[in-house]
Amino acid sequence: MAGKPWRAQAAVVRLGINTLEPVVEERQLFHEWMARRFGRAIIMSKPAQYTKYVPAEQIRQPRRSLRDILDFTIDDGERVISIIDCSPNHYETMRENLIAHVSECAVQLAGSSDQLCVILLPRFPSINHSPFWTRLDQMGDRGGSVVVVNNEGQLREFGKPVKSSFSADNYEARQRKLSGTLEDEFRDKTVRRMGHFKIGQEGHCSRYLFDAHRAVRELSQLIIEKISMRIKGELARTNILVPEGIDPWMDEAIAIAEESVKVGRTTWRADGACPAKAEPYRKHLVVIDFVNTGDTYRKLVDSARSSGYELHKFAIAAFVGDDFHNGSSNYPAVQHIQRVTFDRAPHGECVQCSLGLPHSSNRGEELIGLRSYDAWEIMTEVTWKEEPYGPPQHRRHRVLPDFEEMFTQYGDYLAYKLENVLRHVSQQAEVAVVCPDEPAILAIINRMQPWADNRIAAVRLPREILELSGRMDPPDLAVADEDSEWARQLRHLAERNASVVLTDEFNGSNTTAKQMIKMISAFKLKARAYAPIFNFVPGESLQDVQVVALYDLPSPRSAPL
Amino acid sequence: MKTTADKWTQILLSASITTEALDGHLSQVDSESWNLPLNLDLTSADYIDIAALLQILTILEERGRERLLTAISVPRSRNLRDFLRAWDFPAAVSAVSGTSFRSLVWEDDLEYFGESCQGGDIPSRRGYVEEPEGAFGRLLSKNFFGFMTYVFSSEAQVASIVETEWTRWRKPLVLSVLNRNLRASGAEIARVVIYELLANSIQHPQASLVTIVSRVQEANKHIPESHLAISIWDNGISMTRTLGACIDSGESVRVAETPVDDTFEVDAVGWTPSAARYRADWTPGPGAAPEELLLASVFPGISRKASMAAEDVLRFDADQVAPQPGLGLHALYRCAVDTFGGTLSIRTGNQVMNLRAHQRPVGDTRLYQARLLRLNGRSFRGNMLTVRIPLANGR
Repeated sequence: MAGKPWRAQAAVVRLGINTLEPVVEERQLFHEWMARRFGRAIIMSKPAQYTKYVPAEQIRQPRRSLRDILDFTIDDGERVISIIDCSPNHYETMRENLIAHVSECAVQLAGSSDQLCVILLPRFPSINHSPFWTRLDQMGDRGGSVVVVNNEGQLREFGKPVKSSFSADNYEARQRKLSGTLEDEFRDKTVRRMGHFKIGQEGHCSRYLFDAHRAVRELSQLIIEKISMRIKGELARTNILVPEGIDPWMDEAIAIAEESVKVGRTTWRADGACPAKAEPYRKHLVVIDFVNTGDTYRKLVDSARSSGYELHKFAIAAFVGDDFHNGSSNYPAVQHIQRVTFDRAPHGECVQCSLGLPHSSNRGEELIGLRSYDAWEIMTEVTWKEEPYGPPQHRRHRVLPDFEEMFTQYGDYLAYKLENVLRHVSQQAEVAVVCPDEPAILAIINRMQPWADNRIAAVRLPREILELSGRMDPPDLAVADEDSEWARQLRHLAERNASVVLTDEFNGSNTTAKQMIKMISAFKLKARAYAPIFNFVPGESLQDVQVVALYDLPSPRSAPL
Repeated sequence: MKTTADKWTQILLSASITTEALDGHLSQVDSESWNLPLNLDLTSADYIDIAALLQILTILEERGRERLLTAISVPRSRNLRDFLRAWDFPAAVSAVSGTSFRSLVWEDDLEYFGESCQGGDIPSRRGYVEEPEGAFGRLLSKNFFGFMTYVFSSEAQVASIVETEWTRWRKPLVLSVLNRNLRASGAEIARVVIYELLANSIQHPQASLVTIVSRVQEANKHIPESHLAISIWDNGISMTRTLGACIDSGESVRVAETPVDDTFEVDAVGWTPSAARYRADWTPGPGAAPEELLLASVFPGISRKASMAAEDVLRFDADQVAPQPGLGLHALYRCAVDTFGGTLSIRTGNQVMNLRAHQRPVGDTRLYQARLLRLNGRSFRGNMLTVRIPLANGR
């Protein structure tokens, strides 16, 4: 066996998304690293370049066999390692029929003794019931080998025994690096909502409200980690103490933590009255959603103590203001999940109060679009400069907000608002977004992905292709760059008659929108809507495509010369 | 069952209403009695199983479709009435029968609508319980387990139904409750149980409506073991009829050979099986009894899809060219029985199948007990599947 190199090929299979996406270089390198665990001399002949996808409605039964979807090749007598990477999927999306296909396909790819197939799964399906294992269990040792690995680095081998330098810890660490830590996931799924928020009993208004309703899983896990790490031996006599009126996402995260670490909860009434007589030997752990000025937190601690409650030496808060310091050692030290800037002001000094602006709802957005106050802050807080890309030079705006800077600072909120628009207009869980291949708008779309289980597919149309649309007929446009990523994506979406929404950072003259409409029509696709962040020509209609912008601001681009 | 002087068929249900009890009553209803106005009398009931409640819905749907007059006598038990309300039974009745629940209730019972729920273990989402306790209490207060009825006529709707239920069952709060109370990972409930139940139901030919309901049922004088019950019903053609039609047309219902030696010991009631035990690689042929078809419907690699005309059935997957292993119900019964130690029941046509682990397993072979009953009387409309999973820690 020595000497002859192994040829390696890899594919990333994504379930429940509706078109292919490029595979990042870090994952390609991870596949190569994985292949090297099983063969020293590796030639990575076919790295995963685009995801192989199975849309939601076909998860039970793909239209094509997985072998066709994977597009792997094996010649007689070749030493081949084939990697089927399903690890980026949520375990719950992995239907039994589909993973049975995966194992069947792996057995086919390990037909001879020189062939090894590696299946990467997020989690092992149950050995008790899953047909995934049935075919693998039947492999003899006369053919090749199949290795199945889960995200924790546990490994199961089938068929001919394999030699490897595989280390579970190393694998888990690499997987974690690809997917991010729990803290990263929490941060990615949190939205800093803009508005005019009244802070509970503290006599202040806050410019921002942090909303973690999409991050309940991550938040509960982080709370559980902190509880398990800090109070271990005292769990049995611990109750969680929460103030009345915490946000629903915090309430849910705490309920999950209670269920997991098996502790009870005491809710401290908003009027400060003691809810129940203190139990001897019972110790309470304060868990709270926000610590802003710290007034509410300190009042809660003072009330509980004065009622005879014994408290743990630390407390947990989801969001803690960056100007809050534990200071006095009389209060339990607050362990934060995330430190944030609330930008608060006392009612008397609040600009929005002085303008007579009503308070925003803590529970959700009341408007589809942006409030004028927020839109103008977003635009005026960033640098203005000449439009850097887009239409030909002579038609560009002389000064515009720097959208890249804007989306770095306010991207989470704008993405949150834009995603609401996409859901509103498409009415489907899976949305395909078509946009110009330009960095600012792509930053916004990427920001949405963690919330949407990575199920929002973005088709990026290069500017030069958009410009072509003015000079070519649709049939010619469809074949203008057949092998490009965007053309493949549009063909895939067209096959499935997918729901498509067009977007852009701003609409200056409807020109780009019309170009995008013509491009997708070349693939027999129709846009559900055009949803730019800012619309500078709100008075103009766009054929039969509705325009839903986050903010309308009449400021048309100059007419073509 | 009796016919009253004013020519009503009255079905007087007992204190504990189960599917067996309902089947017992319905077996006495001949077509003449069925065509008379019918009073489903629940006044004596103090417990009703969710599958039985779902079965009552099927009766209401069928009679609504046939425009037959039906009335319900509301239970005297306040606790049971609260349960019906908290589980949104009235809304489910309206959705499946096209008639408001209020119009089915006797005038004397109308005060039912003025009540508020007592709370206790069955708070409704309408705020009867101000401060639900723990994750489970929060699910109850959000009416998570109540009736969900979906009407569909297109593939997009089918995909959306599956997506909606699957998403509901994989929420962190739900998973935490399932993980805490079941003996295996709660993720398998969404991934296998919910998904396969729905995927099976919505693909039955001529199905246009599906209702799903669940309950965490604590042990009581009627129920020996605390369990999670999930029940689903569709109004499509019976599973046994479609398999039978496939065989009658000369097609094989075996679409894939699968190396599985799961074995089913049959406990037959009301019919005579051709064997005492059936292996999962057995393929029913012409002359197979409907009960054998029902048993075979859960075997891996058995499917009627090969012979179904495309227009007869809404699918996720039109124009399939991939192999069709037909593993959904196979994974479902293994998951319910082997992973969670529960049962799977299927009610369709005049057949009932209750599947559980065999009391005396032999060697490494997976041995299941399949109690297969042939019932007299009216044929059950559609298909109803119920999974019951014992709670690991009780509640």
